[in-house]
Amino acid sequence: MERKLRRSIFFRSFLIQAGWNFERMQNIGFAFAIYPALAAVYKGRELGRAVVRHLEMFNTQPFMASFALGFTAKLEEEAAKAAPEEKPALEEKIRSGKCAISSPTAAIGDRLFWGTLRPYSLAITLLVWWLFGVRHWTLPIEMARGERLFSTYGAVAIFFGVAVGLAAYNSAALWIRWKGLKYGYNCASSNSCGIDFFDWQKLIKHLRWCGFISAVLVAVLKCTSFMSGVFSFGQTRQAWTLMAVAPVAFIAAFVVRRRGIPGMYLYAAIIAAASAALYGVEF
Amino acid sequence: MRVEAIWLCGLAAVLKLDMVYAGQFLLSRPTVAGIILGALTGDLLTGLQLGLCSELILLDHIPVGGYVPPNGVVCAASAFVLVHVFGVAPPFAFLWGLIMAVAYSQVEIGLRGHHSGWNPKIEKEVAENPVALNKWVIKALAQHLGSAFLCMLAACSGIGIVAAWLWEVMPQALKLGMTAGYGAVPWIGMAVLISNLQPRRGF
Repeated sequence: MERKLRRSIFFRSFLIQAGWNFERMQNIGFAFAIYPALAAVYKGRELGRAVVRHLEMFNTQPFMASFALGFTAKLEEEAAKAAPEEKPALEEKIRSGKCAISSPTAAIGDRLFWGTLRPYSLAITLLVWWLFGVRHWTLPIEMARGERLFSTYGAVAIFFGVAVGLAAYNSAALWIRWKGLKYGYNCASSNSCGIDFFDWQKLIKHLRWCGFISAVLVAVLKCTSFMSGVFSFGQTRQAWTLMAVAPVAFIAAFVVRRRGIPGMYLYAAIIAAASAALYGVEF
Repeated sequence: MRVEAIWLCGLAAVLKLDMVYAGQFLLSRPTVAGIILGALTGDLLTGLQLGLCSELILLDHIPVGGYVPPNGVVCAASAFVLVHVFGVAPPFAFLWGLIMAVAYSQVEIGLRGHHSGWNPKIEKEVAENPVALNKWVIKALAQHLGSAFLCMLAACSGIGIVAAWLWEVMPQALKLGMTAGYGAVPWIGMAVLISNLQPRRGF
């Protein structure tokens, strides 16, 4: 694939979900992203017909869509050059190929990006913050202010932590978007369509371990800073309430998570339970 | 309506686009959005805490397939506007932010349903003029941007004044209950984060 064309599809692929709709999902974005490849080989009414062909239903994980985009760009080139009697078969091959690629790439992408990299980047951010002295985000704001949040490295540490998290996520996302186009294009219509160029399972496993260790480390370190911070304003009722709630919430969250109940229901339950428990108590 | 609320909601609406519709660079992460809003208004700590709490409480909502999760940016930005512009207490503002995030997901569902109706029109138009596709993409982005901006601004302006007064007259037990719930959010989030990243067998 020409570098200029690849770049053009790459940048357009950032808008693949722009027209997301329940009927055909990413169809508008896919047609928008593949447009430069179609415009390179078709002209006039043929181009219009080709774009309409790509307005049928399509859905996958957005970063992994580049495999389908590369694959489609290659086959569209072949279809444009093919004899008229071969075109319907090639068009059908594009249609079924897109459909076939979208499921495995979605499965890998959802697990890698939403299930692993997103929480991993947060765990890394929290760990960097802790290392650079941003430790009191679990305290109420008025208490956290008293804890000299900016004492060590100031606001720079906050931005640095965020930048590290974003870099960890985006470096992988951009690399896969870029490489996916190449491997999809060069897959020569093989069954795997370039998806097997990488050991995804190994990557996910390693990232999970790194993220898990970081998250556990942050949780343990947070416990110590929380206990020292929460009583720094004296043994107030608010401090004791927070002290009682923290371990209950932490353990209960594991239990509700196992049962597939969202954390915000636990949050609502804690508000209700704490309010009921404190009702009638004189302040 | 205060000018600060207008531009904060506008900026949050732009960041919100990154969540699904444009880019997905994670700039729409509630933590990032909260920090950006906080840094621009000189209230970094409030932005950081509300953003992080929003992210942690919504961590178990994954935007897979057609599922539209509660919007983290709407949660963080609305809570931040309520605290910074209207002076609402953070525990109460966070609760409102979360309610707005859940409510906004319904607006988003409505918009996605509305865009389904575009397909026949786009097909007809694009068959004649393929470049017309750009117009529809821009139109979709503008609708998402506009709806997020208007919803956040209307909700914050409406709730802001009432919420500040409500917090003053609220029973002390309820106030402490909300403070306890708000204090529990980072711990709930940490537990969700650990279980999300827990290595599992197989793929």
